[in-house]
Amino acid sequence: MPPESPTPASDSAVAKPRILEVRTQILKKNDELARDLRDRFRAAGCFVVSLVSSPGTGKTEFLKQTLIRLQERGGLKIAALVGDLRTDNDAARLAESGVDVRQIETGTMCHLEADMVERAIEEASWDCDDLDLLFVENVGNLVCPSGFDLGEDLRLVLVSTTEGEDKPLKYPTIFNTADVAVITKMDLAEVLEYDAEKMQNSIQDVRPGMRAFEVSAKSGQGMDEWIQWLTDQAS
Amino acid sequence: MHELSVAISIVQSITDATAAEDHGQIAAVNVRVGAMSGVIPEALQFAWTPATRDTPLQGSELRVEFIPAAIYCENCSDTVELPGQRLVCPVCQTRSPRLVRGRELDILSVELQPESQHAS
Ligand SMILES: [Zn+2]
Repeated sequence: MPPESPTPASDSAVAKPRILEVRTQILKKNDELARDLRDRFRAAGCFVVSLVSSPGTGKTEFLKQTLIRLQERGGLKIAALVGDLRTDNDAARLAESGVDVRQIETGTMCHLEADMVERAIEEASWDCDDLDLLFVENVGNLVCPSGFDLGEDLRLVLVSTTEGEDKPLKYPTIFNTADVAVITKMDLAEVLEYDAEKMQNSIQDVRPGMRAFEVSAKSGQGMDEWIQWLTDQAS
Repeated sequence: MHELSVAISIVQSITDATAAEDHGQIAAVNVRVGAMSGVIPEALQFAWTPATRDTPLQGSELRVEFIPAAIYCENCSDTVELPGQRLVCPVCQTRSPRLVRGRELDILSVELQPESQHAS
């Protein structure tokens, strides 16, 4: 507080700025839309899983193998949305699994937002009532997607053995907002002298209690355990 | 650069909230950003100029209050502020998933140009 120097209220030359309270969440619009989407999916009995990772994690191959295994098990109607900056390469690769796949072309956007998911479902003319499981692959980016709720039931973060065991510590926010982690490319663990305990510790430091699966989409290691866990969550 | 999306969201929210009446020129915007929000205050500042261009907020100042993350530590029976983003108690090294603060991403208020200046 300044020393006593009373200013007459009439002295408009030194009028204080007026403060206008606008208390609101910055991402209110996205959060509300995501909530509506989540309600809609739940009412339709459709379980939604989103995937985030950095580029080169092997996310598309992992998702493709996941889709193939789920298809082999049968009994679930599955679809996938793939966010990609420009090309539809990933969507084409995923479609090889036999699952209905649509691309969300994000252009310059570095992350997906709830309205993009809503629009993509509309454009695909999918009836959520007919779907049991929907995958939403985010743009390869471990920073930007963290704050944007997409209405998913489960957010999966992928990290590969090639990225280093301290990766979760470098991107704590995305790991903290995820529900489950999958460590990919375990087939390379030995040649990389990958330290499994160190990776698990990094993950636990930023998201205590989170389950982290170790898999290789190439060799199939850990895939059965992951698929079993996922179908348990979705049922 | 999702901070640009975030900055545009701020501009839209404030434009909506202040559209009803003529408040005069907006001089500054006060927001709160948590350490675990995924938004970097510096990047948000950087995005402010392009986000406000040709809007009623052009030329306004963005003031960011940074909120460090805090967890409730079971072992210490206390809320402890974290130096970074690892959810590990800095006192006893126990991990805790119970985030108390740090996810904030809020608009608090706008400061309007004093009437005398606005009128001149
Ligand atoms: Zn403690």
